[in-house]
Amino acid sequence: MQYKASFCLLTFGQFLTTGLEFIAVIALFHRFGSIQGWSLSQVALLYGIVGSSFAVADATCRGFDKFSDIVKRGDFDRYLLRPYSTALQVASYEVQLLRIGRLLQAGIVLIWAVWHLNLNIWDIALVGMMLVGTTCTFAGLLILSATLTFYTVNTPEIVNALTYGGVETASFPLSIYPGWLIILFTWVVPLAFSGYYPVKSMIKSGHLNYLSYVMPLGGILFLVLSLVIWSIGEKHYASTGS
Amino acid sequence: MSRNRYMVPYLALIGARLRLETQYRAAAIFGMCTQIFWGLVRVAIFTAFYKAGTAHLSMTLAQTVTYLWLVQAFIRIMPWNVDPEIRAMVHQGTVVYELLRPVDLFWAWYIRALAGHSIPTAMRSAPIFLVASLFLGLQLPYSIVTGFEWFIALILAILLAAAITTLLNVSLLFTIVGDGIQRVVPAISNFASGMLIPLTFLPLPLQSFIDFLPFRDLIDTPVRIYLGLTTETQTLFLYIHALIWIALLIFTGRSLMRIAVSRFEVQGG
Repeated sequence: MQYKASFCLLTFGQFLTTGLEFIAVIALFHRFGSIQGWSLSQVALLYGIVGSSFAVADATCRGFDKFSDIVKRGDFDRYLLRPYSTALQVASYEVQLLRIGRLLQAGIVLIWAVWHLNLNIWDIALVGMMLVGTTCTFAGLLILSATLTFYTVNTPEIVNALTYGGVETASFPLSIYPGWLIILFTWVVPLAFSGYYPVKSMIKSGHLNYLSYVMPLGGILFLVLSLVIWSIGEKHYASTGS
Repeated sequence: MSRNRYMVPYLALIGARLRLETQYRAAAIFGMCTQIFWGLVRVAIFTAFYKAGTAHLSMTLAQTVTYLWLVQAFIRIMPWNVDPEIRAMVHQGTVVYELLRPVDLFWAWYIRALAGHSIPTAMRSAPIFLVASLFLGLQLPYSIVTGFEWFIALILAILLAAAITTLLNVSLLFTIVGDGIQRVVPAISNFASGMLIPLTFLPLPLQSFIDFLPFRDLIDTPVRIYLGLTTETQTLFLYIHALIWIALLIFTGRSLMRIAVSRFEVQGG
């Protein structure tokens, strides 16, 4: 926070980048009207949940994102010596405040969508649960991609297809995608459980569906699972340093 | 002979980049898979939109799909980043050594940026182009003539991208203002180049503003020529549009660099 002007500009840059992305989405709705029966505000709800959750997960799990640097410098050896959990240490490596720009942008979209769709208190509570579930899913994904680093040292770029690609994919109703993508983002990376399915039942059925309140727990389960895999991968760690 | 001697250092810069890019073949393959993944997602989104109704659209779905794949194939044209090596040089102050080299600093940086755009673009585009045209709905150019015109537009796009990147690199020499430029320009270029959505889908008033900006010549112009959506006169006009911007950006970059260099203060011995 020492360089205020720089920080403001970086935040603004983030805000502008994702803001313009959303303006492109608005332009498409303006041109086409709807996407598989979903209106702009309904898609905006999905977009807002996914976008703000990713911003929070990415800000708090930045260390996992940068994990290959930590391994390459040999810094992980020091982490292993300390009497704290390694996952917690890596997570606290750096809190990236720059994601505030993205959070702000997605948050505005989310609030607009909630207001525009006239959601009642139960629905808003569900949105809260979906935010937690989606954040956990993204956090789990970042941890899993970092776990890969134990084996490969470099994090392959293709992992970005799952994180950034997940943000893009999950921002639209899942049913528009080919089957393999639906399976990928339902059963491999359970983003759909805390986004698409609950939102769909909330918007399309009109009455409370208790299953929707259980589904976001899938995200928490995924996070726990990825932490378990992390601790397994950790045993395979071979230092790069001397 | 003497002309050749002047070119040697610039050619060396291109050679260095070529060696750097060919070193990480696995990274290139992973990168290609990522691009194809993105392409598939975006094609699915647009296909679903087209099903909603196709009133007043200037492009067919097949044309839009081709557009989206060309974006993925030529994505490395986009001027997203400053050169990390130049950034390090500026932060550590070793940038003053650059002044000792017997080449014009602006052109050296420009050639560097040119290599940084053209070589990755050539390496990434060919395999994606091949896969997408064989299996994923990328159409071939509208005609042989538009194919040729497209190639010229691509070269202009790379010259333009290098001019923008060089300007971003020069902006490193102006700390705070530069920080802003390095954030805002890539964000706007994503939107105004056609990378996010084909520019024809934007509302008209916005389109006419974007038409004025240089960014559309990075992606939208080559693709529209490729698809045969422009008349001969329009193509010529678009070339001139790109050329004017290239000249303007190079002039601005050079002038700014001259100002920055005249303010350099060398500390220490």
